[in-house]
Amino acid sequence: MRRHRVASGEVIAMNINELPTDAVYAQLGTSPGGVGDDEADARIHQFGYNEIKKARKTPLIYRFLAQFTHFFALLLWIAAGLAFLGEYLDPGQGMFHLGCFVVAVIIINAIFTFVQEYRAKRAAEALQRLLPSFVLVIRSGNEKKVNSRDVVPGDVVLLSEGDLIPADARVIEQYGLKVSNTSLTGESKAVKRSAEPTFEEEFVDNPNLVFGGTTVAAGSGKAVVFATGASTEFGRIAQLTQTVLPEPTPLQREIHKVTRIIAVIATIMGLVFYILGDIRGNAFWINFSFAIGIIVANVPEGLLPTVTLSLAMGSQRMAKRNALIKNLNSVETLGCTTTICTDKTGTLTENQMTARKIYANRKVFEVSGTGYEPEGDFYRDGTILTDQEIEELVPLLSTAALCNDASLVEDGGIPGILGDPTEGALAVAAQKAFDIDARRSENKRVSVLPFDSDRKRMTVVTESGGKRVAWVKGALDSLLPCCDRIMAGGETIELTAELRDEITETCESFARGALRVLAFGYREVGSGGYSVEDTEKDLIFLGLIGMIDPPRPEVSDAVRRCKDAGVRIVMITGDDSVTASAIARDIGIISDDPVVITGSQLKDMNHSELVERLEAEEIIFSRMTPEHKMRIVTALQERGEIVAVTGDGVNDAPALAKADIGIAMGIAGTDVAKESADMILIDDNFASIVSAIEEGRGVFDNIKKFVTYIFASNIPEIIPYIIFVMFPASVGYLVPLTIMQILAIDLGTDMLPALALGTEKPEPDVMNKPPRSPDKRLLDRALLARAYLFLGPIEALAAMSGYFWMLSKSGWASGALYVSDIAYRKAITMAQTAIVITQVANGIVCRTARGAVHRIGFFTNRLLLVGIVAEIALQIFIIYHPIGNTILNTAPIDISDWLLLIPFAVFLFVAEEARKAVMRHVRRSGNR
Amino acid sequence: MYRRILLAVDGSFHAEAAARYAIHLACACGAELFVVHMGESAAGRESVDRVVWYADSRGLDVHGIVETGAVVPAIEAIVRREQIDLTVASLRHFFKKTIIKDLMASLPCSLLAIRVAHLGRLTHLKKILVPVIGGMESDERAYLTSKLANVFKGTVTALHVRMVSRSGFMRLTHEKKDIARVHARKRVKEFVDTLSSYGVAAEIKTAIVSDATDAIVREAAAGKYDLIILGASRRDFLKQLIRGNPVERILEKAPCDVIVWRPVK
Repeated sequence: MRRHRVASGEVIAMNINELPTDAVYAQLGTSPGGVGDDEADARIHQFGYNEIKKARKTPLIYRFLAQFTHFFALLLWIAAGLAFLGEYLDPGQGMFHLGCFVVAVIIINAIFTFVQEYRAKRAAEALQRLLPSFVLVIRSGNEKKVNSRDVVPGDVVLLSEGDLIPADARVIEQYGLKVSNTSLTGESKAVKRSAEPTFEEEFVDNPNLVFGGTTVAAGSGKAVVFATGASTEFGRIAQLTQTVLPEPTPLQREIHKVTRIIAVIATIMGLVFYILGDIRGNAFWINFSFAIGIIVANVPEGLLPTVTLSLAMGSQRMAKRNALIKNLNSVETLGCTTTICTDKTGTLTENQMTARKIYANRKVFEVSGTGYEPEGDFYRDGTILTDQEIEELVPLLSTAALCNDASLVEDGGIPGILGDPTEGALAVAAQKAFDIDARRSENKRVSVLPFDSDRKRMTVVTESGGKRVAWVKGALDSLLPCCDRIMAGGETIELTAELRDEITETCESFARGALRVLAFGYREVGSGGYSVEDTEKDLIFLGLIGMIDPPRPEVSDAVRRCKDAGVRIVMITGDDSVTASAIARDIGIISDDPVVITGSQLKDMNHSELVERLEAEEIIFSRMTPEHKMRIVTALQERGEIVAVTGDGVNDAPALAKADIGIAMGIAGTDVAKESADMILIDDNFASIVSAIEEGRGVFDNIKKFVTYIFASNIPEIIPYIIFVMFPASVGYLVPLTIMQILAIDLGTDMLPALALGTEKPEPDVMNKPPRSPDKRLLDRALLARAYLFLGPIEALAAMSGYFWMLSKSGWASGALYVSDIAYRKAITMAQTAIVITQVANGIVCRTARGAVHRIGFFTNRLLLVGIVAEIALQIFIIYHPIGNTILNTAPIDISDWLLLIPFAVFLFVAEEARKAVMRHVRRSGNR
Repeated sequence: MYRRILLAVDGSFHAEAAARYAIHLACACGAELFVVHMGESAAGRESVDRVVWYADSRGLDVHGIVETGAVVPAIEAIVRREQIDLTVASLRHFFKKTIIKDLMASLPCSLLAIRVAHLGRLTHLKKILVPVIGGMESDERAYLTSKLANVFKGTVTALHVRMVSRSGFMRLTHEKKDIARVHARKRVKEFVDTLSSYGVAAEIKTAIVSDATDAIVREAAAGKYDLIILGASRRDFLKQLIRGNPVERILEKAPCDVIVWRPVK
């Protein structure tokens, strides 16, 4: 039994990171010469290949075929089947054409819906791409190049700069080895690896471990593989990303529900009117075609493709506002978002450290300017410093410039930095006082004592004019004990206890203002070797510089808009609580006393406690890792929240996939995060999320607008049938509007204006309302009443008036009409034209749900204008072209006949605008 | 409950890695351990020697047995002869066409099949996940779970998996989910109570899903569990043909060690 050590009676818990090298070999059944080739083959059989298996996907063809079998489609199949059956049993009744039309509708719907749902989940492929194809291992004592798929636990992997690491492994030898875990954590800074046993509580935090999918940034080394394939950290994330079943979006649920409701209503109405006709003694085929007509008239055939296109148009508008939508359904979900879980750095802030305050010569100064732009001034008590006054800052700023590895660069005219952001901020601050390149040239670097996390200091020794000076910077608590004097008023005086207190208090006041503070000191040194102990002592304290990663200027306004819109913002950051709270307060996320939960507190918290704590209105999660996000998102969702989450690292991918809206950063985001997200922020800017929410809310309103538009025309399509069944003699024993005409309206003239309504911009008050409740119905009473009881009857009145007027004009008074009668053909043409003309007015009034149309401008929706023109052009074709006449049995009417119908459209417009005005007045009165 | 435990090894590294479960379990139960290898390979004999030495060093009453012949009938004979309560064997990353499958069908005692996946956390099993689908609970399962939790000082989470159809999933509201969770707690309560009687407190979680395998793997990955204890279930041919074997799929995908447990017949 290969074991490192055993204590009698107790299991000794030893992770691979806690073992010395020889025990690592023993535990993994290997040696410095690696495993043998035969053993490697055996281990492939035992542990499997080192690969991340892709989730099984439903083949595309099945997904396409599924579009023909959903409830909505099944209903239309039945209608088509009945029509074909009718044609077979009694040819020549036009049933064949009807059947073909319905089948065409099913196919069009299927294609559109399939395109909508077709979204390749490529996260697994993206993860797979991060694994190398070949790696160098030691097997049977020899170096060997093997396919990364064949790497097994116990393999000794050779690592060198630029290599992709094939699996999770324990480092056993290293020479300046640094790895970049960017692909795993999003952290861009390379981290050192060691070969010594380490004892970090969190397994992945141990610096003697390397993980599959990450890269060797510098140095070289050897590591023994302990986990492959699905057992690696990458494998775990892949499982999470692939197996997270996204919750159906509120709109998907609603459409699911609406289609069933409509289908049931249509079927019941069809059956009821069939039975009524039968009771009245109508012929079977009349009742039969009537029933199908009722069903077809009631089913809004264009609904699904119109919803799809509306979402697509919404996503296009979002793209213009820097939010790239990957999943169309997410567009509307954004409108329901109740909580945004956002990162801080780079999303709420600029991700550009900037020096804001300076303490030097026992005085506090302010620094102006933003980001890495080396323009700005120095102030004291609100007064700008003169060049002479700036001189007293020069020793401090010189230290900031010389004890600094960052340099200032320009990329396409945009100022930037090369190096650590904090050092970059110091260089920029110094550049505002003098030319740092010239200063660095004058002071040649002689030696460097690099920063390390134990002593928290960095020292640079420079030489100028034969004089050598050690410039030191570091955290105040580590630097102040190294100082015995202070520069004040141009003189060097003793650093007394009072002065130390003053410095400490100043530092604390800077920190309370969310500033990251560094202290600076210097001393003259002799030539020779420079050890930490001999150099970083007896320093002269120069002062403090406080820096901040400032909030993006547009974020405060975006936060305010979120609050107005009833959307809660939860900050999840890796920063400490003080910094996180200060930034959150600065930009308005918190105002009172927020609940602050740290990473370690969250770790000790059980699920129900977390759910309970999330009730707080203002909450900040500090010192969080991406791992924690998934927990927070799950808990929020269990509270019934619709959650949007931002993320950039691979570790964020599961939370992004789990969230209702996963938002990946376009600039800082890894490929895997982008693959898992529903939306990508092109500019990484929080304000773009808020803009996207505004668009999302507009989409639901728009869907309601065109549903109202489509439903309103159902009434004038049904009323003629009802009159025909109830009072057949009054309409000449023929239907005043044929089934083919209904289809021509629903799938022809109505289509473009309906689509155009989906492109309406959000109404101005859309962000002044709370988020739409997921329980709020698309087909609510108000919508149905507006469409069926108000707009629809006006259109029906127009249609029937047109029909009777034309019959009267043609001299018909009573008696049976024939399908081929010119009077009948003109009359049905008139009825259809009446519907089309009133639908033009309907399209215009449907542009707003509450506000007056003239307030948003009559010509602001160009697509609607195009749609109206196309609608009228198609109707002209139907009336005046022989092909249109043949298909729909229509006949040309006079221009004067059109003029008769226009007053109905005007009446509809005026009546609806008056209704809206009354509703606004009632609402205002209610608010008072 | 387990007084005599049989551990089958085949000379592979994987089987030795899995052997530690049997040894620690035997320690926890105060059981006698029989380390068995069927065959004549030197690797197998050496493996038996190492395991016996290690178990002996832990103060166990341990016996090494090396025999030849057909594996399954021979092990079955040893089980009957030695009145074994529990047989432990290693399981690869698949289940189909393995000797374990045949052992599960024939052995009269309880059986643990262990798949070791992560060698970096050996004997550091802080988090144990016990999926509960339906109501297939028993005192023995709670006993086994409690012994493993105690020996590794791990915490236990009982995951109740409630299956719904895909269209049912579409219709689920948060209210319905809350009701399902309450219902699930009742279903798992018996198991948790038994576990509690063995001195182990368990957290209860509920997953309402259309795919139980995905839910278990997802929870194991998200919660960074170190071990999954699965109950083996007999599936008829048709069910297996249509929906596949969930154990097989979990073995393939799980990011941690997996124990498949089949109770005594």
